Amino acid sequence: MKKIVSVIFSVIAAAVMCCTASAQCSDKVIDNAGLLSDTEEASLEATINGMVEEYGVDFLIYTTNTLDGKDIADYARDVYNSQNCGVGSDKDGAILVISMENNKVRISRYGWAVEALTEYCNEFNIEHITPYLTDAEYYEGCDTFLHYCDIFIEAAENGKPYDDDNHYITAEDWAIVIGISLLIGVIVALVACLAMKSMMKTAVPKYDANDYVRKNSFKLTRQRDIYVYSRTKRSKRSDSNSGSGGTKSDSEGTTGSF
Amino acid sequence: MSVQEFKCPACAAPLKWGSGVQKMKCEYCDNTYDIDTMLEFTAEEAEKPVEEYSWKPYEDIGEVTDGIKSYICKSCGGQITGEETTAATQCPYCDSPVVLDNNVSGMLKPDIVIPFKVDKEAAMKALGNFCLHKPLLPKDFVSENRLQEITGLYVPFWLFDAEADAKIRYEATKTEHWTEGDYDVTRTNYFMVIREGGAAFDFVPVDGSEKMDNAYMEAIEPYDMSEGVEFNMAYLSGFVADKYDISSDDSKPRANERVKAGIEMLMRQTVTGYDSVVAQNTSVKLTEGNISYAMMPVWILSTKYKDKIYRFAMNGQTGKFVGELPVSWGKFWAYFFGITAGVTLIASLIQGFLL
Repeated sequence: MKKIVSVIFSVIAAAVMCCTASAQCSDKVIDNAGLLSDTEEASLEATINGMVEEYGVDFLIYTTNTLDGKDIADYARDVYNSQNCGVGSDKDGAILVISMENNKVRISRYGWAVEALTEYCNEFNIEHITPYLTDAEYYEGCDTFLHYCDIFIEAAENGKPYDDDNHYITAEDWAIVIGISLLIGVIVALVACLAMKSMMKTAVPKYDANDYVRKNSFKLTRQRDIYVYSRTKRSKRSDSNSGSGGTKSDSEGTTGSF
Repeated sequence: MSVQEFKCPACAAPLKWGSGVQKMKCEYCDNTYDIDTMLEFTAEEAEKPVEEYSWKPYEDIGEVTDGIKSYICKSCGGQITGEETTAATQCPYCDSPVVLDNNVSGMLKPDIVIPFKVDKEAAMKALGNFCLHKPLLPKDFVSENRLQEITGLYVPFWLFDAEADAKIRYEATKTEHWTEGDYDVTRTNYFMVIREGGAAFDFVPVDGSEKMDNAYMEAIEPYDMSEGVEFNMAYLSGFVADKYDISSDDSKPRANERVKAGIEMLMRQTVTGYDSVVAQNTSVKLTEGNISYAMMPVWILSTKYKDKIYRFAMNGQTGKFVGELPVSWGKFWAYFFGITAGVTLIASLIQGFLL
């Protein structure tokens, strides 16, 4: 009797755990637009599975040729829900949607992923993904998305999520910083050293004879300043309303174009 | 009746009368112009630049023959003259020995002399001061250089006085920036700027000795001509004088060049309030040009360092000291790389902080 009861309780407990534990998308990569090869899909899935296990945050990469008349943000949400994605009751996770209909890309996040993948992180990610998508390097773009999500989520787990007050600096950024600093250093050093060198030779000819102008002898007899014509140039300003580099952010995520 | 054609100043297309705007109008760039502006603009554009330099020929006031001795350098041909009691032994130009030249009877008497005001000790002290605060000077130069010769020399100069008149036409621009909706707008306004005027130049010096480096002689200017006096043998005592070997005629081009540059600079200083100014047409006329012959005091110093002679000159009236010192290339590159490293580090830290 006791044995039967304990078995029943185990079955019930397992059923409860199954229902309340991570729902998670069954497929981590859904390539409806046919942008990825089987090998690439498998690689991305493996990466996502690793991240789910490590961080307890779900990911879905979704490509499509049509948004079915919806806004990409709504489309992303509908896909995320219909695929039953997300870990835990808050459905912690993020989705990357690549739409070939209007060349748009969207990152939406839910649950704890909203804190980990801040608006700064999403905009950063979109800016780094879109060059790959523009060049039709879709696997590289998706891999880049996962790469940065990994970095951002780890930082959030350590209590220091990347945001507007805490920027993520890539190795490329440091290379640019050092390059610019070196250029400034070389220019300053050159100017300083040439100035020191010029002090060594002071025998230079005079350009003019203005040491010999008789005092008060200079007089202007005619001055004319005539306005002749104008040239006007108009240039369109870069769109500042949509965030940095052509991205648009809202409470759920960020959209970009490629 | 001939028809005058007007060209658009902006794009050179032909202008037509715009009856709607009552002005001359360009059909290519849509600029419009008042008829008076166009007439003035066209007349000014048609003017060609003119340069006229008029100098009265130099008339000398005789020679000094008594109480002087002339020397010649067998090495470079330099000729110097000294007072009878002053013995010259070394050529101030190449440091070779000089010998008496009995073929020379006298020297051209100068119209003006500026006597030496600064003595030999001051010249030597000036050399020491000149070596201070020179980061690229080889560290052993001060201890190891050997003063070879220090000579008080009267250098011959031709002095040019003139009244200079100029007319200069400039193209000047002013730029405005503003925003209109989604657009950044930049408007550049073009102006024709004309300046006419003149100034008097007194005693513009051009050195009359081929052997004296013009750069050195111009670098130690100016001389205060108010202290110039009539020539007297007494001023020559203890010093030597160089003989001129560049005539006044051959010195005129340099005088013309300096006076022209001078009047151009004076005119340019009156064109203000523009973002850019470019001279397009310059006419200069020099009149009342007078030439006089002068002797100016110069201390010539030469010093030897690592088998190379380094020369210096000091204005014998004002004490202004010029010369050329050796550069330690080791120090140059050490400073270069050190400053590069330091500035790179600071700039990286600042940029990293801003990132």
